[in-house]
Amino acid sequence: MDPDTMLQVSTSDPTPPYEQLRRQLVELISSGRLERGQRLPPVRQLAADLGLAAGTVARTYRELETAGLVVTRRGGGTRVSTDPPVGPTPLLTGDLQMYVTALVGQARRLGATDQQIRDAVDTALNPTTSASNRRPGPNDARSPTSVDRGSQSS
Amino acid sequence: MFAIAVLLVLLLVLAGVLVVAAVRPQPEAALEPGSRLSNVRRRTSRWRWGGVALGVVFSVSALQVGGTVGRGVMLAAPLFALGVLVGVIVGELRVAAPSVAARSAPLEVRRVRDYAPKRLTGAVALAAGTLALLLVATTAAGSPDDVGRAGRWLVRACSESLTESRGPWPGSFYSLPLAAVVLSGLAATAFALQQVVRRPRQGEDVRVDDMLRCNAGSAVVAASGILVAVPLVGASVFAGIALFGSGSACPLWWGATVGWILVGCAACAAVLAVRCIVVLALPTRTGAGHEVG
Repeated sequence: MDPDTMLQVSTSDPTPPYEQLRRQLVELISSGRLERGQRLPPVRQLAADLGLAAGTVARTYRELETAGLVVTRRGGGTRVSTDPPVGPTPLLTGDLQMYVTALVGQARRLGATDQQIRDAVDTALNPTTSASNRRPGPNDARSPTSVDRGSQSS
Repeated sequence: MFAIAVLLVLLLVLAGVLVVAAVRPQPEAALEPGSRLSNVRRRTSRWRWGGVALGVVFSVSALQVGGTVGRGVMLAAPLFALGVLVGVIVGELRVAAPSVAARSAPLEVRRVRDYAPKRLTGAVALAAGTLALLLVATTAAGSPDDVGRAGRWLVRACSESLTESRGPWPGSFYSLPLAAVVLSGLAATAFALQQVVRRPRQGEDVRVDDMLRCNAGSAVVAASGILVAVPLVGASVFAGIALFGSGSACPLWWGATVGWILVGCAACAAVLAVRCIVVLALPTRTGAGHEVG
């Protein structure tokens, strides 16, 4: 069995299982490891293998179908679309908010303050500008060095 | 009497095969004791043999309460098969889903045909179709017997004043309860095969897991073979006897021809029934005949 085509789900991950599955399947389809027209496991089989409710897997398949990545036909199962959309996967409803919520949750668990999280997001959005404009905060012990290094290198 | 003799022969075959099964080395001895797959094998095997025991109870009960006109004998084998199927289904349903936090599953599509023995499945399907055709024909041709039991005799009107009757005939008196049991059994077969395919993957060794599924699939198909083949033997033999014997009062030109066809059909069904008993009691260690992978 190809380990590259194993789906993994962690129930201790704050990301919902259906989203974990969706991300992996999007990656497998967009990377070409799942070929066009290839059939996906039936919902009940995959749910049983992963110890999930059938509705969870069905939701994943539904979202992939909405994104045009898979096609479901009655009696024919769910297959990878023969004509998947080119470019980034369309943003699905609620996805962005869910990602940001997960990010904020993880950052808070690391001990970051709200301001530090905002700064980090600004940096991620615009690395060059943020690095040159950023002023170190009172709790940011390591940031002056990194900013200085960034300024010197640019 | 003939039906009882056939049943006794089949029971003797079953007993012989069970003795062989008890004394031969365990096929999956290579499985690591205490591993998930070892547990699955032990659990499904126990439930399968529990199903065999349940089937014996069902068939003995049918023999005891079936009356004196052969209904109990006719239903004994299908009810035995039904018990086996119940055992397989419960065994597969008892395989636990993963409960650890980190779970994984292969992106594979498992199908019934991957785990059902192809030739045996084809033979069983042919037997089921033949049984259905035979029962439709004998039900349509059946007439009430001398005490008014519908579909228990074959009655032919030779002339307005002369009729010839032969029995027992596998008409509606026998075919309707038989059809109910066989259809229930076929539904149980479909459900059991579905469970064999759908039960969660266990352990890392996919080949061994597939082998256990193949053994379960073989047991299900073998049970459904007993479900249809033994009644096919009985229905063919009794219809054949009635057709051979008819024509003394008014000759029936096709009676002997069809009778011989039915005898051939009964012989093939008996071979299939014995084969199914052997497969049921002695599951192959490698899933021979299956394409595992």
